[in-house]
Amino acid sequence: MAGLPQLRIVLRQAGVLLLAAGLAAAVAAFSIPLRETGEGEISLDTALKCQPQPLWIDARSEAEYRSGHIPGALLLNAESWEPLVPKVLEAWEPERTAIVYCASPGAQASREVAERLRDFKLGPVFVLQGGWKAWKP
Amino acid sequence: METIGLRRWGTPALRIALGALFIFAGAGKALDPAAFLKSIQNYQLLPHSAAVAAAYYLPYLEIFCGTSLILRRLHAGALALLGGLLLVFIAALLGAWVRGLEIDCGCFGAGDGKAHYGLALTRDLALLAALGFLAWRSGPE
Repeated sequence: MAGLPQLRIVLRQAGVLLLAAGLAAAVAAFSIPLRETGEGEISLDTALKCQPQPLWIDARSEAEYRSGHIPGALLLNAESWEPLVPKVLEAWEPERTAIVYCASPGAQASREVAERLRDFKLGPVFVLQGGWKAWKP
Repeated sequence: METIGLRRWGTPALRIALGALFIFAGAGKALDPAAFLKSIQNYQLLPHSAAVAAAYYLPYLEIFCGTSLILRRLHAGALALLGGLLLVFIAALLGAWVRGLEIDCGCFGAGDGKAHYGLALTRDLALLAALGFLAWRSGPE
């Protein structure tokens, strides 16, 4: 029965460490704001495996969107942000991953839209690596 | 004589080395929680809010446990927690590998973005074995 007091000691020590880490993390959460940078990219392969299905955001022009887009994608670009964003927010269920794409790899439009979407803090936001060309080369 | 030397110096050296490794791993993540959050999200296991909490919490748990190992204070608890953490990391790595995710493990903060599952799993299993050895060699304070 020597194991029981030992287990109690281990649990007590673990509890102290868990609490200390919790306090430090709470202080850090206030002092180091979490800024999810525009670096967050996701490959098409990984995006297609997302569960639940990601919310696709098309950051190209309306004409480009009309000529073809990822099935289910919603149009949202900086030029028409105000009229378009309510529809996106309505479709964006909490915790669902939003993936933004634009015309070409490295284009700035998707990064800008992703950056603004992150401010809503509704869920993770990624930029699709390769953009629309990754979907339809 | 050799066995006594190993017992006298080998175990403390291993304890300090492991402690330093976990402090190093935790500090890298604590200094850049956004990068660590991205690593967690790459696994696609946790909802956003839980991933944010983990991005802030886990680095400090590693730092405190690593410090406990070095100072030999609360070290039985630290060994148990680090062992549990490693089991969770191993399960997450295996899950990502099975699902074919091409992600960096994020074990030491932001990596090169490539999956090195074999290497990461071997390292985690070696660390787990080292923690088990320390738990076997050192009783509670």
